[in-house]
Amino acid sequence: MAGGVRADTCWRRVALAAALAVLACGREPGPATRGTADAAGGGIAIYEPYIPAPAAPDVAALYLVVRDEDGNGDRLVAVRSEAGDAELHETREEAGLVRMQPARDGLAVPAGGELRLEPGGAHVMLSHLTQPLVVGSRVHVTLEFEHAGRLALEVPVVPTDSGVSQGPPD
Amino acid sequence: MLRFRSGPVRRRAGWLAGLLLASSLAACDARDDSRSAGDPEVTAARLGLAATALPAPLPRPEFSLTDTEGRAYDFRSATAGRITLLFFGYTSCPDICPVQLGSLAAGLRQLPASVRDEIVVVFVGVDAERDRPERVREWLDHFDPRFVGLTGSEEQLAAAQRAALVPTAFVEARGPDGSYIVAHASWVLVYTPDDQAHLRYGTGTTAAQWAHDLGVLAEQGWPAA
Repeated sequence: MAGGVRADTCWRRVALAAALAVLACGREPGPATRGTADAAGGGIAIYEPYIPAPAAPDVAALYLVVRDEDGNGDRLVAVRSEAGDAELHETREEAGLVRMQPARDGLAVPAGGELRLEPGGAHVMLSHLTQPLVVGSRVHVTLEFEHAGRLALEVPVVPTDSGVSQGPPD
Repeated sequence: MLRFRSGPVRRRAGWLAGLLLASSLAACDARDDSRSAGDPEVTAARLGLAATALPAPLPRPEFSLTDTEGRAYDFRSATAGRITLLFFGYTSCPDICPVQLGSLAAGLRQLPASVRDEIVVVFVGVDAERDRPERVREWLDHFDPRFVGLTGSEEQLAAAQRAALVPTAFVEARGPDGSYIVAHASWVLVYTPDDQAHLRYGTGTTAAQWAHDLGVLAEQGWPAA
């Protein structure tokens, strides 16, 4: 089974990369927001934040890419949103089950690399929603990093089909 | 045991996918020439399916739950002879469930209506407490109003999962406010007109892969060994 899971992950990466590339084409280039260096020298940029319009009235997922731009690495420790409770989660597959757990220690942004929050992996779970997340609306979110401090951004709610769930087009 | 998996063999994946697939096919041929044409992995690869072939087929299971109209739904008799996709998930699932159903719904929309109408999608809400019929209906309508939604008591749901031979869902983590996460089966089982499942699909299946694979299965079913 391990081989199967690996291969799935591999294909998913290819699909996600392609889909994200397509997704990115329709938007302005460059990061959605960029963190200024704080005392610890954190340099963080956020790319491609989106929330697929949720099917459930009370729960949604937020995805984005965090890029470390100064080579020091960082850690995403908390998320806050006016839209409801926000919690960092990790999804994994184990013994034929999808399991999801809160990332209590936050999520590492590797030095010079990326932390990717994407379907089937890490995500921000929004629950107890205080507002309907309809396509076209934007949600105010604050990310808190260990070094870079707080970054505020507006995250668009997009149709489920335009997100990575659609996969690469023909 | 030798494991061979196919990837999508469509143009969209580009030369890289083609190259990877060609090399894995070649590797399969070279390492695997003793295998019979009836081997499910070989068949799945020949058809270019993005699935994991089950080592032995699973029979279309017998279980009874309640549909979103409140009627009893006997899975085996209601879906007999039709291509049927069976999901176990829950409507309060933020990540995997909506992603899987969203890509499946998008894939189905790429198929001609005549093909689409031959395919039954059955979602079982395994969260007995929150997956009430109205909520399941509303949730599924977000993806495709034709998707069948089933619910039941905890005992009925456990019996359905046992019958389908998937791991039984359980409450993973309960927060101080009473909210909770559910661990549930990750694979979508696909039953073909021979009333067996030969394939299962993982969480990363894309719309294009669904469209391709369901188109192939609708056209030729699962080839007899």
